[in-house]
Amino acid sequence: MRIVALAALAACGGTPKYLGAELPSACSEGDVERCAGFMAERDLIAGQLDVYTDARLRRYVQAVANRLARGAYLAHPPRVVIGDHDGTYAAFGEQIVVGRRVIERLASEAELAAIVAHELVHLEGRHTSVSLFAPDADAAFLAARRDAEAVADERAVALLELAGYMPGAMPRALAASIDGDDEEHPPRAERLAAATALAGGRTDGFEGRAELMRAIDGMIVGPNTRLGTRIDDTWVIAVLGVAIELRARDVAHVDGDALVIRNAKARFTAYPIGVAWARELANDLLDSAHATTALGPLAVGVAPLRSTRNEDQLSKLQHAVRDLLPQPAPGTWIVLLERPAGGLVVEISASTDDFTRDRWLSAMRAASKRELAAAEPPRVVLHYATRPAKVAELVSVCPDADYALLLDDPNRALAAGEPFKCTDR
Amino acid sequence: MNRLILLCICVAACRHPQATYPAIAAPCTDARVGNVIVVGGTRDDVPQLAVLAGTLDNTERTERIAGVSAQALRDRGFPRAEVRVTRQQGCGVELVVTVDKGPKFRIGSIEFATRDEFPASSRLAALEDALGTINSVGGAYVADRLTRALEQLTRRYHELGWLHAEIDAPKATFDDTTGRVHLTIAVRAGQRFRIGNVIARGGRRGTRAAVIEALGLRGGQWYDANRLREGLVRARREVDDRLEMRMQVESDRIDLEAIVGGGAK
Repeated sequence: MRIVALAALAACGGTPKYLGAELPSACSEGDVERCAGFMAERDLIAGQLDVYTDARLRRYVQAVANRLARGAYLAHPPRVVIGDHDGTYAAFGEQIVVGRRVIERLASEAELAAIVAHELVHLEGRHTSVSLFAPDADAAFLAARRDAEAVADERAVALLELAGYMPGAMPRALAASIDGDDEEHPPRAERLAAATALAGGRTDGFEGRAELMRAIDGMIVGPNTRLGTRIDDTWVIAVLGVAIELRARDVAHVDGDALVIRNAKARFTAYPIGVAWARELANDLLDSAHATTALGPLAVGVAPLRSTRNEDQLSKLQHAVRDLLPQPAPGTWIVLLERPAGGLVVEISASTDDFTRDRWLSAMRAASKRELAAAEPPRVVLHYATRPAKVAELVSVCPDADYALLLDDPNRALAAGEPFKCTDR
Repeated sequence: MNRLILLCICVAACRHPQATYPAIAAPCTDARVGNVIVVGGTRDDVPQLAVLAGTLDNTERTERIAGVSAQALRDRGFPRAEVRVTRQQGCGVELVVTVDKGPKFRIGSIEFATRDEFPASSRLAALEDALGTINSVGGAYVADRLTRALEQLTRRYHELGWLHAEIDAPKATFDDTTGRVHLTIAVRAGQRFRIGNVIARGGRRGTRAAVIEALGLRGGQWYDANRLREGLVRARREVDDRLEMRMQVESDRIDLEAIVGGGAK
């Protein structure tokens, strides 16, 4: 069906779309890297609500990337996107996704540049490639991945030098952003040792602590809150402006990428998605019924199987990228609520009795202003050192001193007047 | 209007250009790769090695990355590409990367040696990768991706009823005069299975009838795993997920037995 739609659009002179946006010319010219890169960014924006939309911060990080790109083997600077999550990665098509939660832990522009430079090396070295037939993650594949990661760490120091940033920021940035070891990266200790050896304790170059602090002043900190939070007896999904009233014996918690509410054997799993993806899912439901409610358009139905038969190359690629989006398993009963900022997918487990299901659905309402204010995540507020001291000695003025310690190196020595990060609550 | 244009020009001129900072001199030490010199090609041919400039010199790692670079060239249509790395003294260590790409080949033809009824266009489409630029006629031949594509094609055969289908490794014939590579792929499809009996057990008679109706499968049809999966989704809705499916493969058919009450609930 989708192939027919694409062909019809092409015949009418229109352009095929992906999640509501016209596909770039790269998709018709066989440039699979750029085409998939475009789709991946649409996934973040229109599929997962996983972009941190702060134009000023994005411009700032983009400027850092532009500065680094001048010394790199790239024809154009990469496009920077701020992800509302932990990870930072080089996406296809010369794009870099920098996680907000990585930025919050950094202490200077040079450290941010170090993180961006690492990803930039992955683009320079063409360490990623798009294939519908992914290789097995065997020993040789993992060895190549680890080599690429080690090279990215080490060459990032050279890119810092070329851009005039302090090379010593590299080991500090790695220390702040790596939590543990995994099989696709060299061990943390090895990475830090290599970066330290190359940086050689050099402290010349631009550090830019004040510049980074200004750029992140007011930035949200902490985990992505799109799954919502409990406010008294209500679960509030602030990003969609939805509240779910909980009754006695309802147990609500975040489990991975979803909100789960249980009551005995009954289970309700919910997750917000972008409007474009919500509309596609609603249109594809089997046995569907649609209604307009006070909260917005509502679709009820069964998640279909997603056939991949007889598809052209572009449709196959679209399906491969779409498979990465949050979505219900085929055959699952779902309720899909569309709100102005996105959609809420609610999966009702087969073990849920009709009474409980209807009670939960009727318990959904628009969140009040008070609830939205209470669900607001903490943000960075800058304070300034009143005397020369270590960060650990200064954060006592912060509303949450423990959290403030997680946002910087506690042993970092600050001069009087230098900024440090607190949260606003 | 002119005032507006003037104002725009002024605003553009007054904006601060993005600040740049003076570069920091890189130290020249024996532990560090100061430069990567590419001979016989360009940095674009071996980007994985080009980015070693500025890294710690690590002989074993460099050899592994040279292998990755050569494979990447082969993936781009240079099946005989070779990459060699030597060292010389410069600012620190200089890597000299010698690239011998060899001739470029495009796929001239892909022939399946079989007479089975699997749709020919679907066979070819199943092999193509990267928006049709790899493992398609006119595209580059990438052996390992073709191997993985053939594994998927074998599964498609199985799903369409050729339960014992096997596909051999492709035979590639390179024509140096035309720069074309011709691929022959032998398929041993074997017997194609039809659906035999479709029965339902358990539950009430009406429920069983509804399950059979929802499955939408009849004896004598070619077996098709996708149609079976779609039918199962429909049938499970009829009975609130309380459905288990059993398959029995006979000599020439597949019998299907739906057991009502055996599922999740």
